[in-house]
Amino acid sequence: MSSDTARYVQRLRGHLHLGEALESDFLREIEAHMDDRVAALVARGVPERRARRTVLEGFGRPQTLAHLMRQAHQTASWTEALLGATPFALLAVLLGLGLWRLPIAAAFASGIVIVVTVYGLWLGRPAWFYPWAGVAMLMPLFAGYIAFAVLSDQAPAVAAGHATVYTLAGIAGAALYFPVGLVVVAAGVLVAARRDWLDASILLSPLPIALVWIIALHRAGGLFAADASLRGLAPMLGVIALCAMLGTVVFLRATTRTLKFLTLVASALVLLSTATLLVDPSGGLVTLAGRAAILLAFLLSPALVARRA
Amino acid sequence: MMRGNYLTQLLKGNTDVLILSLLEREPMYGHQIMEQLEDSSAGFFRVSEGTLYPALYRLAREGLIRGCWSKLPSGQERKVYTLTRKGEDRLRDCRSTWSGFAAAMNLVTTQAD
Repeated sequence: MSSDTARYVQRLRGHLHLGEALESDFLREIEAHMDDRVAALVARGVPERRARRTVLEGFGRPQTLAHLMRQAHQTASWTEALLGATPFALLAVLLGLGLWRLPIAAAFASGIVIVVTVYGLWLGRPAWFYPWAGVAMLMPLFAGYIAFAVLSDQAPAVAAGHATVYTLAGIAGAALYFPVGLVVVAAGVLVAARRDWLDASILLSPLPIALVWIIALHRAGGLFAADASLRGLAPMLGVIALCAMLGTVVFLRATTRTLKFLTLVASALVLLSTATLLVDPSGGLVTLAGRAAILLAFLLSPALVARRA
Repeated sequence: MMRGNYLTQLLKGNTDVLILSLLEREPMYGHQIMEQLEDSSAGFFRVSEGTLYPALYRLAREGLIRGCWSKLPSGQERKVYTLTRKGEDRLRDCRSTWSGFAAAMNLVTTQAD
């Protein structure tokens, strides 16, 4: 391989972000194509150096080819789009019908989410993987809420000097959980954003839904006391998850990045308006605009990460 | 200039059908598809690599073609694409649409003669 070709392949690899297996396969294929094409041109009397230049020109700029290849992989089939939206359907059932309170239902749903997420990882992170991984991240988030509940519950005892070793160990563990959880989420977002920041954004998309749920749960008296008062809010939580499900189907089926971006923004705004109705209907327009800005900044933050990477 | 643009647009819109049609004849690898396209059209259709490979990967993703690494008689390994059953169905649909479109275009564009 000439130095120009090697440089081209290296630059293309740097821009592809398709996953190790797919990238290696594609680069192997185009290297073979380059050899064939150069040989064909040389056989027609073209000097080898010029032939190599002509072939590279045919491939176009590495950035453009990488972009076109990513686009070819971005549009999911209907099956993939529906598979990608399924974790939100699961959330809709769990939250909307209040089934998350049943240990068997919660364990069954968690099991499905873990198995499908691991399977998606094993397949090399196809388009449908990210919503599942995002919902999988809700489990540590919920565990974080339990840790928070432990901290709040034990704080008065500690303040009064009645803490046992076990209480202190529990508090230390719970306090440690938050930075560790944050590092795990940030690492997941970084890995996803390295391939495509839109993937990382869809990975983050279930988190605001869970946050709305946890806020509603907390306001209704916490994990164990919230049952009766949260029951009225459950259908709205289900509706939010169903909207996210529809948004995910459109996102995965969208043929352009602009359409994906707009779907992400529209879904976020639908979530925000429903959540505002649910947890804080009396908030003013300024508050709403502020929350919209925070939500969009959160969902679109992977774009900044990708720019720096 | 106008002719070039029109032709580019037409080619862009029909690259998938052209690839499917070639693969209907026999399984081929990327470079072979490019050469066959040019030869079969007497040099009229020239698809660049930058157009061909995204199209091949898109078609494979849609399940219309399948790519597998095979050893050629020369001993070299190449990713050879074959048309799937779904691809055959799509090609049949495209051909039927194209016939209707071409007939209608001819009716309209030749009326002035």
